[in-house]
Amino acid sequence: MKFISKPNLEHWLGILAQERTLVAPVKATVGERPGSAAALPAGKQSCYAIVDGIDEISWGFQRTAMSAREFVFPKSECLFTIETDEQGRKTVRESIDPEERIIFGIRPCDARAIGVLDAVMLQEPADETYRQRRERTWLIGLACNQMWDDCFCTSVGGSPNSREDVDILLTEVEDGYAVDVITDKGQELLVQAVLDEKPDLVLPEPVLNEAFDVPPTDVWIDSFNDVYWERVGDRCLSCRACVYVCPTCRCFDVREETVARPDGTRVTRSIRSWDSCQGANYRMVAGGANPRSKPGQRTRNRFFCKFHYVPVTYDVDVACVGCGRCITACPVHIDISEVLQDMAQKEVV
Amino acid sequence: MIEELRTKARELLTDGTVDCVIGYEIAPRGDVRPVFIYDPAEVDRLVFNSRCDHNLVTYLNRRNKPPKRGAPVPTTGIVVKPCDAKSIQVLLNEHQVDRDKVTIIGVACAGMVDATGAPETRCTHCLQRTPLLYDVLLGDPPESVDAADSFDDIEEFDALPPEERRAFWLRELNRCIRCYACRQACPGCFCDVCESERDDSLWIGIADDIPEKAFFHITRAFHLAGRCVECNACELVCPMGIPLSLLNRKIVEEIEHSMGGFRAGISDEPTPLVTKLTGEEEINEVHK
Amino acid sequence: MTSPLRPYLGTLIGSKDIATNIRLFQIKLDDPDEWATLSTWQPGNFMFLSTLGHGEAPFGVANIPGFGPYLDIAIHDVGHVSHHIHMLPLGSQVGVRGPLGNHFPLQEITGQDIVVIGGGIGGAPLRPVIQYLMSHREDYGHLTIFWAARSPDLLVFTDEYEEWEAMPDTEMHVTIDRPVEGWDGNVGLITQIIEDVTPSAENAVAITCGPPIMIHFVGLTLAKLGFSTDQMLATLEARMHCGIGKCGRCNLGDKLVCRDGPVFWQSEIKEFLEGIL
Repeated sequence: MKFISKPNLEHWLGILAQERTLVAPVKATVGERPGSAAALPAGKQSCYAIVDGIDEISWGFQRTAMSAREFVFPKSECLFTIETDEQGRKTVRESIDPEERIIFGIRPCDARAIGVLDAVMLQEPADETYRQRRERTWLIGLACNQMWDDCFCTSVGGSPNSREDVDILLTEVEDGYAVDVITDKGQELLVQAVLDEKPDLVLPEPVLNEAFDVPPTDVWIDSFNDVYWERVGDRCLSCRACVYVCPTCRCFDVREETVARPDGTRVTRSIRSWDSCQGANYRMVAGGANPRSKPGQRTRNRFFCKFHYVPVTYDVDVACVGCGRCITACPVHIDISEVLQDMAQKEVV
Repeated sequence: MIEELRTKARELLTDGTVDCVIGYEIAPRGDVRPVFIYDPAEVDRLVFNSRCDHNLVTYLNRRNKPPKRGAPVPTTGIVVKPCDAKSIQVLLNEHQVDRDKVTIIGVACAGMVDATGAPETRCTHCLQRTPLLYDVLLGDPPESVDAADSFDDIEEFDALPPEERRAFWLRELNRCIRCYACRQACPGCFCDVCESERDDSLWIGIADDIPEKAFFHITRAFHLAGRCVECNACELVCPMGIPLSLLNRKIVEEIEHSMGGFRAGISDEPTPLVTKLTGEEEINEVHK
Repeated sequence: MTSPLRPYLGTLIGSKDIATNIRLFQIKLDDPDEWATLSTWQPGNFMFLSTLGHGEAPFGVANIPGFGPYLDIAIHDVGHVSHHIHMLPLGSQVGVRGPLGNHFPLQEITGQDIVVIGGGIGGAPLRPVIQYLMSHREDYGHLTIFWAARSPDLLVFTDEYEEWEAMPDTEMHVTIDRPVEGWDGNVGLITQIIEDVTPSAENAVAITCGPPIMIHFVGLTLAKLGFSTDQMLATLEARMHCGIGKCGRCNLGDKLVCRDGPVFWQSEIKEFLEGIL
């Protein structure tokens, strides 16, 4: 089994940070305020960010507050620019993101989430902007040696040390990390790393939370009109916290925003940004009708999208990876694991 | 007091005074969260303790505007602390809530505490132990309370040099993800289409850059001028831990100092920053 | 590989008011190869139209290729993008994406009587259906057209009714909601006039377009006349940002209006988890 010592890992990451763009978990001032409804324990007060050097990396992190989604699917990005010259003629230019990004320390759940985004965005016709950025992204996974209090990856078909969807998987062992090279892309990245062979290395079994049953498709369909969903929706504020911390959500808004220049020319940016199906007017149509005017209809839509709509429309089994961020972020403590368990037991209010 | 609360809720639901009682319950993981009780048999879910820090009045905005036109406005019982009751007063002053449709279950409050057990900062500024507005009052107000109505924290921050304050806000607001939890949790934010969500990006675009984020929060703070009751719901719900109370309370202080001591939600006067129409004005044009 | 979100460039070559706040636009594409791709559109498809400065929005096609040399799109000035399209001077550059969505399965319903039911701006996506029937008249049976609007100034394509009614074996009934001075035609909701005329459900297909509430009530009326839901087609609208199944906005249950629709049989709509209202 391949092994990399901590010093060798740091050295290798240092090279990657210099030569390319390295994204890693960093300590972030988020969820520090104990009064906040989203107060986070120390291990979760981190985010993925671009690092210039390894001293910025937060090694003791458990799960980041925001997922790594923003590095393959940015919170906002320019899709096109449209230049208007003095005569009013327009030219459209696609915005290409040439950056090569290596995301170090991505947890198996977050990597699996990128797999879900791939299934949606790369399905024909592929979203070209996403596809190009995804091709230029490497994922160095970091296995979890335990599940934390709101994690439930094992209940949705994942695991804390899953080898899926990453290019390399590191597992923390004594003095360093076991290195599992999974793809050619990962192999190519390791060229500058100093690896050892440790044939007797035994990987630790992660400490698991008790898994629960997720309802099958027919239960979802049968329950669609159940008053249970109205009740969940009652307390929902229709904010976007769950959607924005979620690693698999991908609804987006596109707008053209134009800025006039003093020389008489104009530049228009076609901007894509994250959007949320929880907004009151999200599903309103031009004439004013709105099939999801009630909060319960919208919260229902989110759960169904994760567990039914995306699985039947795209090539993926389930669109929730059990990271638990929405449980932490929801200001009114709507708990997806509670909803799933209620549904599985058909214990409806 | 909890027994009294449950008894009252059971009574209001059973005799049909209200369709629903909005209060607090303990969620399976142990956190306090809002609960909507429709069935008198479920009133035992209701609790009240020093972790009940949500301002439930935001739900009244939604209850008072049924999505289907012409549908009747439901009746609601709502558990309110003194700060929350001020929110109801603001909504009454702005004709957003029908007083006849709300039964206000006021609770005496010794202040809320955070997850570590320390008193919430906002409660250390609050001298109100019982709500000013209620149909029924539960619990005994504590004899004395360790609080002082002061803007010391605002003044301390104001004393910092401008560059430092600017750097602070740019850093803090940069963490904003525009999830709008602050806006949705605020009873004073009830616009059908928020200025920051207009399709035409007239005021704020959708880019995830600091100008947009800063402008959203500053605009929201200004739109709450003379209307913010300092319930701190915005800061409590922020998943990114942004100190929004500093911003909103700065404006509360400005209004108090410049508008003859005005504080929102204390009387039936709406914010002094609006023009009150008497109904006798001749309005020649309605701008769509 | 060009992004599917990138528009083809074209020119606003013609524009004509066809009702109050409703205008018919004609668009010519700059590039002949792009026009070759675009002009494979069929009735029921939609296109994104962009002002290249104020955003894009999806609109049903309002003609079939060959009926006029360009792409026709009829737009009601109701929002930000539609308003800016209305303000474009002739000759302006525009962006077009398409054809997107599915289309009316007209080749599968030959030999049947056709009932076309359009309300307000809903008439726009039905015009290419009528044009198609006009150019394949012998392939279909009796044609009944029901056309409605709240008031006479909101009826679309009034200058084409004569040509439509002149088709063999065709009848047309126009109605407005409430009496208006100077109008001596039918008055009453479209459901009323359908009930009065009682089109036969035998070997017939009804094609409806209008606001969701109208599609709903017309469906009930047709059912009363013996139409089964496999005999009723409707086209649904939705706000969209991609049109290709990525942005997640247009779903009704697990169906995406942009890809599974916008044309659906009522029998499919009935099975949707989410209602259209």
